[in-house]
Amino acid sequence: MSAQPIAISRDRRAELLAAAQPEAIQQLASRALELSSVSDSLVVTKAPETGLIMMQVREPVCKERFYLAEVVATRAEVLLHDQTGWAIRMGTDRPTALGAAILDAICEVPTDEFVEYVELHRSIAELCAQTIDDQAEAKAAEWNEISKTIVNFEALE
Amino acid sequence: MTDLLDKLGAEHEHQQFGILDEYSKREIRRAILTAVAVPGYQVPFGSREMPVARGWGSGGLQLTLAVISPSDVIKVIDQGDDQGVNAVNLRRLIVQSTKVQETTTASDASIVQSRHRIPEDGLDEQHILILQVPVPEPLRGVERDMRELSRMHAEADYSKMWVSLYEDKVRNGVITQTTGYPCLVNDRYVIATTPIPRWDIPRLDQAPFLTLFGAGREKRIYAVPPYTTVTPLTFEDVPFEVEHTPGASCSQCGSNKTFLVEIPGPASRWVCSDTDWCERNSGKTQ
Amino acid sequence: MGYSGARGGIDAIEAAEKLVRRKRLNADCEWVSPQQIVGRFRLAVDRVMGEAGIWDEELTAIAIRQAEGDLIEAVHLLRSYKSTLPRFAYSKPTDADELQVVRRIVPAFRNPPGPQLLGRTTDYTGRLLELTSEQAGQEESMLLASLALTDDQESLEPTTSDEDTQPRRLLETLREMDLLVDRRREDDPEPFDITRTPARPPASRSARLSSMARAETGALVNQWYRNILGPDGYLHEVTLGEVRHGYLALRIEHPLTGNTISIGTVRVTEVEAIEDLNGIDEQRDRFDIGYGLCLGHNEKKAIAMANLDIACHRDAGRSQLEQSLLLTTDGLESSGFLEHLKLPHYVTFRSMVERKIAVRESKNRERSS
Repeated sequence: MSAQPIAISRDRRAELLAAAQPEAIQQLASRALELSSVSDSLVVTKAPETGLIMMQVREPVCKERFYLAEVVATRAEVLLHDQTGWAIRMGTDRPTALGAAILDAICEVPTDEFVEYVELHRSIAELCAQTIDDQAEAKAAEWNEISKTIVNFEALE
Repeated sequence: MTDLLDKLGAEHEHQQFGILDEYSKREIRRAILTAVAVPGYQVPFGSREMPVARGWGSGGLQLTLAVISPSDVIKVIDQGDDQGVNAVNLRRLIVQSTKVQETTTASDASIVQSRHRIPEDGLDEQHILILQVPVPEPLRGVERDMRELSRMHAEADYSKMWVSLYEDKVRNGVITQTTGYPCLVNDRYVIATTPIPRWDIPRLDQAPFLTLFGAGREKRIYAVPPYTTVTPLTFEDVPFEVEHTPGASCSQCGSNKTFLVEIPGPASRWVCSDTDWCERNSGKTQ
Repeated sequence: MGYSGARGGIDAIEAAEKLVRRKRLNADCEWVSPQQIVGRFRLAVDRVMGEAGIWDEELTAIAIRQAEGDLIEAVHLLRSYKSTLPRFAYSKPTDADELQVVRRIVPAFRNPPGPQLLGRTTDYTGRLLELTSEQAGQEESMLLASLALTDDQESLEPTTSDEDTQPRRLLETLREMDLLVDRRREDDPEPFDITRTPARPPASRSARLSSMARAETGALVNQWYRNILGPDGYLHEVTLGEVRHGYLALRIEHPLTGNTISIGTVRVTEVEAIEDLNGIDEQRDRFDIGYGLCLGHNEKKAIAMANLDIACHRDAGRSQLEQSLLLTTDGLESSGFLEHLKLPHYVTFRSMVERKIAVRESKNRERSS
């Protein structure tokens, strides 16, 4: 059930790779690593590292910012054919963060030089589209249950 | 698949020396430098949560981990005892996370972390003594409001403290302050001397070693640098008294010139609280 | 000799450690996975995340399991783990107005703008202990699972609207009715980071909000109740404007593009507490609002926080309420210090005994002279 691939910005790609299913990312990254033009030239410039992001919130009363709490995240950075790939994901999943960084780098490598990446680019775009669908579906499913708990005043009157 | 990604990632991992991340260590070192520059002043710092609970030496542990380097030799005591349960636990944490050498002999150590005692001997200019502090505020007994407390320290207004010592003496005939006796450091700030016994106070005055005080829960660091005046607060006609029990001497080494603790029972006896000193001196005295 | 003076202390410590570990790992029952803890004890997980000041459900579940259900101990495990991690960044500020609600009630109005969305609550359910047999429970669980599958077959119409998921907050309505003191600031001060600098009174509001957001739930509830019924009385009861539970986006700067990206969401509980200003010097024709926001689904904490936020603002340093909030509500600090009393204290105690004898001798001298 693969979604139609979509053209997306690098920023949006980072957001979607942060949200995509770990298995899907790892599968795609592993597939990429089977290509010698990936595995031979890939340099892990920043190994997956788990750390914290201090979350900043603006509250409504005084419109003041304050720090709510820290969020655990794992990030990684790679270099592939002079292109930097970067990814960050909430949680501690190191292989997936590295996989996402590899996918990010692959998307930056021009396909006119590396025709074998065309297929990968397409799969990554599909993964991104799938992630958008998954998110929408999850939200709809949650609302499907929750919306029944809205108090209906007309019914009370 | 995962193996491949795991392996790629793992090749670049490194082991953290001494639990804390480097940024935290730098921050603690900066607070230490301020503390040394202004003896007795309580420097606020962003105390990190440690693998030991608040109140269990988390401040001392942070100081140790911030100043320690691989060539250091560590001694850890609790109540003067190297084998005390908390000393054992802290030493284990320090040694496991830094792989430094450990010792029980103060003179062989470069860093001594302690709760409630200063070792009886062996500390010199090359040593750093790190004391775990449960309550860093010496004036809390006479003032609860923190805003007022910071004013009192800023203006060196210790009048409430003097009044309380005076009332104590008048009511009880003696100054009843037990451990953690308030002292004036470098003629400027009053400090809480952790709870080390009064016995140890004269040994802080003009000491050749650097003493760092770490209060993890209250997030304060202060210091008595080498060769600094440490004067217990007392009146001209009321001499400062250290713990003394007439006739008591260590049942193991015979010493009556060390801080002794009682082992109660039908035939109550005394022993040195500094167990390493006691062991080294057993058979020598008497 | 006593437990601390004994040689071989290390052997006893290690044996105790092994005993705990063995009994924990080899308990005479089935293994519990972190997923089970997140799935079945979600409110405990949420509470621990909030009190630890760290968002990660899986790590929290692992901590709760390791702590054998002692939630403060789980908080401790997470906080000390946090000390080993680098700080990547401060996030870009997320406006709390963006909260995507999954529960939202407005006690102050019967029919407020936006929904009264009860969501996943037991507020109106009789607290009856369900004594169904284990078998019946599991059968029901399986039945529900199969029903959920058929539900999925139904087309899920996009029944949601922004009005439902991001309802306007009551505060805005009150502002429009000109019923609120306007405390909106233009200067946008940098927030105070309590994890880097200890907060002491007088502190900024951002320091108080951060401290309360990671305070122990019970401590905040107690601070609140102590002020209602106890000797302090710095606050009075508020009317709740908003009680919300939902998702807030976490945004950071993309290091390569420099743009702001959203990398996921955290769940939070948010409360607006409407304060009837009744002080002599206060604006009697207006209300003010207290604000509460904490990680996870933890309404008790957010309500206490909102009420204490406005109480502290109104108190304006007259009492020691701020000191109480900043310094006595951290669960790790209070319980750590409490438990430190179990450590050996024989050096200090010896010193105390010596002074008792000194006082007695002094009295005897007085009497005999």
